[in-house]
Amino acid sequence: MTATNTPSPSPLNSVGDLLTLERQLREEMAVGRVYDTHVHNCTLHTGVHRQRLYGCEAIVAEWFSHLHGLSNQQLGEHSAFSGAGNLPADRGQQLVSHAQIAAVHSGETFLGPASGQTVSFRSQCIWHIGNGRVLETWHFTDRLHLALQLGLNPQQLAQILAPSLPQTKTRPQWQPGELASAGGQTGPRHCELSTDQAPPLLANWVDALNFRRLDRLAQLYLESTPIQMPGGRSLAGPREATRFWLSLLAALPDCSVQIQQWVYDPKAQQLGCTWLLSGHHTGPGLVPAPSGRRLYLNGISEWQFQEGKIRAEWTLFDELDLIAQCHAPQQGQPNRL
Amino acid sequence: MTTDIKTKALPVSSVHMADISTLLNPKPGRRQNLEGFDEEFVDIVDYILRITHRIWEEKNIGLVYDYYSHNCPVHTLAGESYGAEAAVQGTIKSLNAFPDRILYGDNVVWGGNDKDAFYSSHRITSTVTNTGDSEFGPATGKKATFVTIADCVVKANRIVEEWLMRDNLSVVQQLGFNPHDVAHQQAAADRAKSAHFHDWRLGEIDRVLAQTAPKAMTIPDQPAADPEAYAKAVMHEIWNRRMFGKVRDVYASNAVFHGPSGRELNGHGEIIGNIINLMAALPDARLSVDHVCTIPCGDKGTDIAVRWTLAGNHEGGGLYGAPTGRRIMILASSHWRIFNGKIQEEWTVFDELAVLRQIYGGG
Repeated sequence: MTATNTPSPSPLNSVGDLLTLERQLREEMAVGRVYDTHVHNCTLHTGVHRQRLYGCEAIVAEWFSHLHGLSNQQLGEHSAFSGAGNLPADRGQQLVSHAQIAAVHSGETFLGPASGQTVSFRSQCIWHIGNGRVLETWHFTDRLHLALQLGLNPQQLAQILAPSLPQTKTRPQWQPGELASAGGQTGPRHCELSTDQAPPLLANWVDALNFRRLDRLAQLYLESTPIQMPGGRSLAGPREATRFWLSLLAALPDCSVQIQQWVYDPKAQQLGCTWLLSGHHTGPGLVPAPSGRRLYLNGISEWQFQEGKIRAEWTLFDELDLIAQCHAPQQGQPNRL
Repeated sequence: MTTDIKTKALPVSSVHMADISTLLNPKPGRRQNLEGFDEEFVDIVDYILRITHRIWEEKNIGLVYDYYSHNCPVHTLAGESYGAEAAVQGTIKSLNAFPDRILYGDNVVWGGNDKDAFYSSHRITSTVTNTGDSEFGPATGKKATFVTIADCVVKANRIVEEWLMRDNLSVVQQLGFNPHDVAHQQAAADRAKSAHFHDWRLGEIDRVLAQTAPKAMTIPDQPAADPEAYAKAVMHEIWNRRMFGKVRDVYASNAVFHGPSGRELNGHGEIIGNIINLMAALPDARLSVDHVCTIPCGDKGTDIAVRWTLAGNHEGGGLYGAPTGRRIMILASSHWRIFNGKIQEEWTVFDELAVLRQIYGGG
């Protein structure tokens, strides 16, 4: 007797398993692998304005949509690591991955109708895995870089995307209370990571941004550190890194950064984290005139260290979404049903 | 040949990190005493998950007659119902509106035992497509995802009392209706009903507001040591004593809050702001913790489920619009995930559409 139609769970137990899964999904379009590698109620955070997709069916639909728009995906640089993280060890494993992907813009997407152009983009993820399945995952895609390669104007594209933001449809805008950095007359609060296993560099990075000490931010980098940023930007060294963050802080001068998930491999000297930056857009940048809006930015950073300093960095957030938030039509008052 | 190997009972099922393929097919064998329950159930978590699946997803609604007591009261903020027959009818109506409803059991926090009764707090994320007319309006064809917490008292294979907290306002928003219009219509319909329909709620408001002036309570350092004392102290200090700054003591600095009506908040500032936002609308509000149960989450974590009632007069503007002076009640449940002594993640559910309905003079 031969067994047919029997699912083969093939649990995820290692970094290698995860890399294989990502290759199967992207290159082989084995979308159904989601069913036997993700827990039934898995949550996928897309990095686009706090969007969460819930359950395997929604994740499968998202992969179809993604692969329809960007087909023939081929993974180039592709790596992952695991380590101690913000969750207790008995609550599963946390992994960080990043990939450089080549694809063909072959279907209708947020970028518009298929152009047939070949594009390249970066994807970065944090995965929470338990009992051999993905429990929760945070995926970031460099959508701005895709738009730029297709010759699209980011401002115009963001204006098209803005009305579809969740809170501008029929939902209230929830933005209660003070920004996390606000400490009144006593100034910003130091970063708390709730466990002493976190590397000091992580808290130092957060504090450098929240205390507006770009000099301390610069001290975290080696002189020629290669830095990959959203929009396909390739930067090098502390001077260009601080210039990038200075622009963002200028646009959102009261912003604060909170670490959400982090994963640290002390042996390989690698660290990955997701973070949330929020603030009011009262300064220059992003759009021609400050919108005054409270903006939310989910991001992911992955660092490699050498002698306690960053020797390579990959940071990604959805800059297109950030611009779209500035253009979002105001509907109703904040914090009111 | 027989073997005489004594096997150790498996621990009570845990939803956390478990796939549905495991949860719906537990290894046979009782994991706790279940006197009066069907042999097939291995523990109270298994009972809750599998009867939900059978009734809602397999659509064997008649099983309600088997799994609910004949006079089971079901409490919701929109009204009360009594008995299995009412539950059957309500389920049929709901499944007609949302026939493909999937109920993902995200957690079952429980307490009690088979002698006295079990208590379960079942947090469910539902995905639906609205292809039939619903209590909110005509079919829209739209999809929605929403959270429900169902707290049940279970004895001898039957649910004997239930408190159902569903995020109806979130459903209404996703279906594209204006929640104020829906609440106005529901309130008008309520006013046509007899006063008796609202008696239970008015009595509850009196009970909650009748509490004496809030005295200081010490919040225990170790939540897992005495979860009930911890939950009562946290809710009392933050809500009743208006010590909003204590959020910084009990929540992790990067805590995530999933609230009703699409609130997704992060960190102390937003969590404090959310509480103040609600209290500003109901400035004399008082909160009563009505039930607490807890389970471990892994070796080092704790999940606590708190059912609570808040009552106050709508004398402040903001959240619910211009003050109406009406007496308002909120029936809510909060699930906390705690490790390292701090709340890392919270899911709070209450029916804010039913709150608007009260604001507009209905039930």
